[in-house]
Amino acid sequence: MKTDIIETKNLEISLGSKKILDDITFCVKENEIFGFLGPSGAGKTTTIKILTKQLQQSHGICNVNVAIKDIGILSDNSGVYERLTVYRNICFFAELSKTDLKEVEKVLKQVKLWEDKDKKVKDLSKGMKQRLLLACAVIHSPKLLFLDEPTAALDPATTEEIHKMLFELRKNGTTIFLTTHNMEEADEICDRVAFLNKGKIVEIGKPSELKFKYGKDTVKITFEDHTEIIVNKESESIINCLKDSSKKILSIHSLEPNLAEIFLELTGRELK
Amino acid sequence: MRFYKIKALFKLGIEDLSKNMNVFIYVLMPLGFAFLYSNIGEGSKESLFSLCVLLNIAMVPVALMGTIIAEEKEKNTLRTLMLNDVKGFEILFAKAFICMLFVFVNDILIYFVFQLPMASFLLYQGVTLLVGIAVIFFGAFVGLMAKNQMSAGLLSLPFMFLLMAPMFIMLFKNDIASKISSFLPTDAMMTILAKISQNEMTLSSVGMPFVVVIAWFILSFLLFNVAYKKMGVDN
Repeated sequence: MKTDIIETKNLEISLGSKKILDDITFCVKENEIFGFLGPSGAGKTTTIKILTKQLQQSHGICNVNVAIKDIGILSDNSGVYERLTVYRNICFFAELSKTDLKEVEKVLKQVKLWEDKDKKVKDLSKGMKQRLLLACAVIHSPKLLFLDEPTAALDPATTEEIHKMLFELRKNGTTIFLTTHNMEEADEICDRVAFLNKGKIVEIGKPSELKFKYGKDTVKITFEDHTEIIVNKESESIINCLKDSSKKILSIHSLEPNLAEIFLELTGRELK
Repeated sequence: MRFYKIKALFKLGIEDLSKNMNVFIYVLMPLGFAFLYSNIGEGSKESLFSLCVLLNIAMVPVALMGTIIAEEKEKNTLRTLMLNDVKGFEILFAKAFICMLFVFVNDILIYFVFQLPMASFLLYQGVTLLVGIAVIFFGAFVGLMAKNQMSAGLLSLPFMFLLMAPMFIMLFKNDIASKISSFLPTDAMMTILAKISQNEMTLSSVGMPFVVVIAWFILSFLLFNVAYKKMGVDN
């Protein structure tokens, strides 16, 4: 049975009289990619700050069962040394964690920065800098990785590469806690997700389970001439519909909502 | 305290500082004055040397230390370091070590610029290094208090003026001001340096100045400690 890497129970934090996080309870299992989803201002970054001990919760329990040296973090306030080169920066973080410098080349190739290793950080684009920050966060092969909107400034091709890298990390035993408001990304890479709205978790589960739970009881049948009909999910309805039609079937799909639609249904808010 | 982390921070700090002319000017300025005074200054070599060393002690440990810590805050690298299992004290120790290295190198270069006799070399270096250590915590204090490099520059000004006060007080030749000045670490340093150059260094002649230096070391450490407990390295 997989152990819990992160456990929180009734976590709360307030700013004056306003609750920023309210009754946050969840756990993250070893070796999973856990997505923490919500619109801007929902409390995602605040949660990461509590989990990484940058903030102290007002109430509740927060356990991160990994030594600090085995944690990697990429957040919106991560920084690197801008006057120095990409290579020097990552070597520095490798030295800090006593990581073999052979890893530097491997990681820089993974984030597609090997060709630019001699460039100064101040000359990098926003996306390249984000990739460097990610490389610095994973150079010591952390057991737990916190990623706060890791692909926010990246183009689709680089985002794809980063996703591959995250899968590779998970394969090698890293647990990933990821915040994003990109639902497609969460759907693609997360094993489980939690929806956060106005400081509260409104739903938690596997993307496939949530889609099933919030799915409609209908299926869409597409015929070869691309006409579509929507019928009830019950087999009798489908059979009756097919009996009445002489056209060949192209596909039959259950009508599942995507994560953004589920969030909208739960909160009445769009994920932006 | 993990020395491999301090070593990594030290190496990176030196590289980064050497590429930052805005801050490196604090290191070069006392040297520039040494070259200037050695060629056109009036007075004995020893007193001009003392003035340049005073400038070095007032600028490098305070302004340089304060500014490099504040820059780490401003650019978010300090937070990144702390989230990478680096302790606040390890960062401060590495930064202090960098500043003291520059104080030391500058002192040696200034000594050679004025071509002072080698017999007193070690004594001179020992005294200036001791005073540098005594005031380095003011630099750390400035770094902790400042949010960015600009405010670090501003915050370090009162400390720099305080440490450079003996230079200005010398011009006035006022007894009360001189008496007050004798309680400053840099004045104490100049007194000790003068005694060394006059070959009059005895326990009775330099005992009090050494007490003043130690008292300032304790004072600056306490000030730093209060700020560190209140704010940490990065609040």
